[in-house]
Amino acid sequence: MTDAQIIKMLTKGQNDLKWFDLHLNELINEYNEKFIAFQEDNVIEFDSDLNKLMKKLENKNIDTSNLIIKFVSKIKFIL
Amino acid sequence: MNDRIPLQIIEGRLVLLALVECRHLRVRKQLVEFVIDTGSPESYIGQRDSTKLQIPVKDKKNEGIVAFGGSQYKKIILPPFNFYLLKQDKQKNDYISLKVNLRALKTSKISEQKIQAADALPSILGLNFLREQKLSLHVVLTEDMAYLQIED
Repeated sequence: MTDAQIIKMLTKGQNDLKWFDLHLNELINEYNEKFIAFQEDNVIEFDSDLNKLMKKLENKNIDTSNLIIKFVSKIKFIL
Repeated sequence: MNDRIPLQIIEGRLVLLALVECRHLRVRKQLVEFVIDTGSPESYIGQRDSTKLQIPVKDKKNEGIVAFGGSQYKKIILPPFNFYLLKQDKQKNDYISLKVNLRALKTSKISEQKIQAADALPSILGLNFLREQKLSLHVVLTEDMAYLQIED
């Protein structure tokens, strides 16, 4: 992977996280208690079970290396 | 001026997005979001990210038990990872690479609800990350600003 590709992946990833944070309330309303995989302002796939989500992504031949996967919930957790 | 690594504030938490790889585990470069957790002495790859990265944790040696997010997990020893992180540079985009020690967390629970709870938890970078990488943490929430600074 070239330097430019590394920088591109990281920059896109940061933009994806920014989008997620801006749309958090809408995402919680639509996908409460689900794992979502998102990229470039879109939710690509979702499921309440992480392994089933990974399987769906595999079946769609989606490269997960530059995807962000997060769990959305109305309940905030404390680490 | 020392190099800075920008952090993002996502869901009210300080987050570092890294491109991680580990040739020993056959993990090619993948994006992983880490929460900077100053309440943790150590750094961990959470179960969700272990699944995404396809890190084999089943038969790996464990280092004991750790309590995290209200539950208990086995601490699995992993080889070091290469991290690629964006640097804060107004003139051009640049990155830095670091060698980082992480442990994987694995739940021993079998109920769907407990496994989902384990999968929901994020990967975290604790104080050992800051110490080992000689980084200082800077946070000014009133300006929505947070970054790590590389100390000499």
